[in-house]
Amino acid sequence: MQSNTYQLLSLGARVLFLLLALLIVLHAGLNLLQQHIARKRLLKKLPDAGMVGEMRDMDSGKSYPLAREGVLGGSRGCDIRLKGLRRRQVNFVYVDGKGILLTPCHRRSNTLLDGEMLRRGAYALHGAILRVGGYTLRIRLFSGLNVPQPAQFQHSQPVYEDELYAPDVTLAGHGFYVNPPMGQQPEDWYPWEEDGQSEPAPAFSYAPAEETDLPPQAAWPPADAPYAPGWEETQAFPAEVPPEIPRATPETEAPQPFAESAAAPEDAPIVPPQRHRRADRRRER
Amino acid sequence: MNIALKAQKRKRHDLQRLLTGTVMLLIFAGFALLFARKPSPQTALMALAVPCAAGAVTAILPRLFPMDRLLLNLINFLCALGVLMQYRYNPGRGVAQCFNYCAGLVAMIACALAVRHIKNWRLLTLPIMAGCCGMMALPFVFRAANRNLGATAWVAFGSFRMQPSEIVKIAFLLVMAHLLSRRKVVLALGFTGAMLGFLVLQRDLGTAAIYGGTAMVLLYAATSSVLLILGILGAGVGAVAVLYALFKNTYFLTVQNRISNWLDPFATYDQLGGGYQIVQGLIAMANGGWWGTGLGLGNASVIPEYQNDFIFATIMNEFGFIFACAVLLVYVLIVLRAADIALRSTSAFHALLAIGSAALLAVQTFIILGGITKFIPMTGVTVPFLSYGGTSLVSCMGIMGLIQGVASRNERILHEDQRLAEGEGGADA
Repeated sequence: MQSNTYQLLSLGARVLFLLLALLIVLHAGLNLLQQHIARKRLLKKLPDAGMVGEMRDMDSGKSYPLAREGVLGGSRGCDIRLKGLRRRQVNFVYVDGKGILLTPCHRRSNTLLDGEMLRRGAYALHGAILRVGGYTLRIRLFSGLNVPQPAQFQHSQPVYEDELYAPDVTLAGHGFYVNPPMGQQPEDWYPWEEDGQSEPAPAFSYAPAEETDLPPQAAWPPADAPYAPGWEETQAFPAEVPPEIPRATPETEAPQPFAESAAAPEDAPIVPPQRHRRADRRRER
Repeated sequence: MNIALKAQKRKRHDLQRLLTGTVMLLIFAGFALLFARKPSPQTALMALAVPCAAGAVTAILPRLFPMDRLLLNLINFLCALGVLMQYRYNPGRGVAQCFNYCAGLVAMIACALAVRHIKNWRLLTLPIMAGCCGMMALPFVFRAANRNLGATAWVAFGSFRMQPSEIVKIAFLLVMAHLLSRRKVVLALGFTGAMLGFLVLQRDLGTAAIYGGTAMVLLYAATSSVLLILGILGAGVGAVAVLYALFKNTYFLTVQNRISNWLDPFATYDQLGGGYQIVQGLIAMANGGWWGTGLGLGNASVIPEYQNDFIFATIMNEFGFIFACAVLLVYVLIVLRAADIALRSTSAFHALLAIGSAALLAVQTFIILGGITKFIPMTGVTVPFLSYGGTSLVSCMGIMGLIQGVASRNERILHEDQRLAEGEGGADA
């Protein structure tokens, strides 16, 4: 191509290049903005996005959303901020398939997980109790997460509702009888002996109960028995309550763990953990 | 997913396709113009291959590997523009840049997959740190054979040449993000100090500034402590003052030259190592004006290192100031996108990784563009994605791969949250 023609072409192409470059910037900027807005809208619809559960203060009943990763402590930068704690007390990370990995930020963090001192990293599962700086926090995870079931909730066989409240019975002899108290042999304690009968227990048989002269059984479960909603609520508060860590006061800047521990109120409500679906919570809202 | 969401997604995809198409058209037009100037089969092949490759990468790669399409489009635009400019001045170099781009793509995919799939970086951190130190020490072993323009930052194995400090950037980001996410500030500072020490000994002050600037941004992002940053800056200034007093007539002669060239480049215009390069760069940019001289009509090749440090001056010369501003805006958009990805991240490590990558890119762009426009003293670093050089391009693409990895991880978590919220069960469902 001749030099002059090429010059003309090249000078004309400058406008095309400029327009295309501006179009690229415009499209990219618009795209960036659109995606930003779309994500904001999506996150509005998913208020629990990025969260894996919550920590509930057993004393005050307050709930703190539990992110996939964060820090529990007293400083403003912490994801869960509790007054009176050290600036950074415990790191937590959600590990898929294992639970919430809790790692103390200091060697002497005085943090108890399910009654055991948290020295290095430990996994907390659903329903675990974390005691830190006078706070008792119950960890509750969202359902559907790939987390193993806590050991105390694991059952080798399914447990049915009536079994939860049914007496411990054993088939024997003429029918069934209530198991003897601890330390006594079955032959030492028979219900018919209480009724003045001295007939020895016959050999084992599956004779129907109505053929025997056993006293009538009380209606079971009793009318005033609470409704058994499921296995979750059978989990009681730990029997051995670890020593309390007194809550820090304005006079004592740093908490003094294990010193003059104040006993937890006896009638403090124990809220059982509930694995709940986010969809249910959204519906409730 | 409901219909409205699908429609929104389709609209965004349409916009991205339009963006890809615009990039392809611009590059095709550039190569077509070069073909019109000097017809050759190679130019014709490049005119077809480069836009098609840019389009194919944007269309196919996100289907095979989890990638952010917008970032990919912007990177492709810059890389293709770099190839076009290299080809315009030296066709052989343009073709070589294409191969460098392919190597960069491999690095990007590898980094993205590593960030997405490696969960425990704790075990890898120490070996990576040791590897970084080993790599940075390599130029001292080959010092005599690789002295290059004042800096001893290059290593040569036969005909293969590389700059270890460029590759170490990726590892540096990973290590710093990991250490700072674990609040190991002292260790992070020590590692940064070691890297800066190596770079200062190599006399590669531009790269040292990039490392230092990135470390500052990461430290602030991790600790939110202005006092810490001010303290480190004060200590840095003090160390430089002491070193200046000690090595005023030996090591710091280069620094003195650069500062005097920056203050008045015309005074040292005709001296060896004087302000010739800066003055020629300024003349080339001024010659371009608002609209440029036109592709193939510029004469920016008189600038020393026009293909590396001063590639932006050549773009400004031939495409004009407004086009150069658009290119600059593309950098800004990349940094904004990376910052957005960092803010959306759910883990400290990934957030710091993305913000560190964005900071590194921003600092590098600022240092080189500030240098060629005489805003700050000139230091020899490459323009990300545009400059000629395999190591630089691979490093920049690898850094983009880190951001892509974080973006894909964010998407995966968001999808999981969406599924959980819809009551379909979790990862095991």
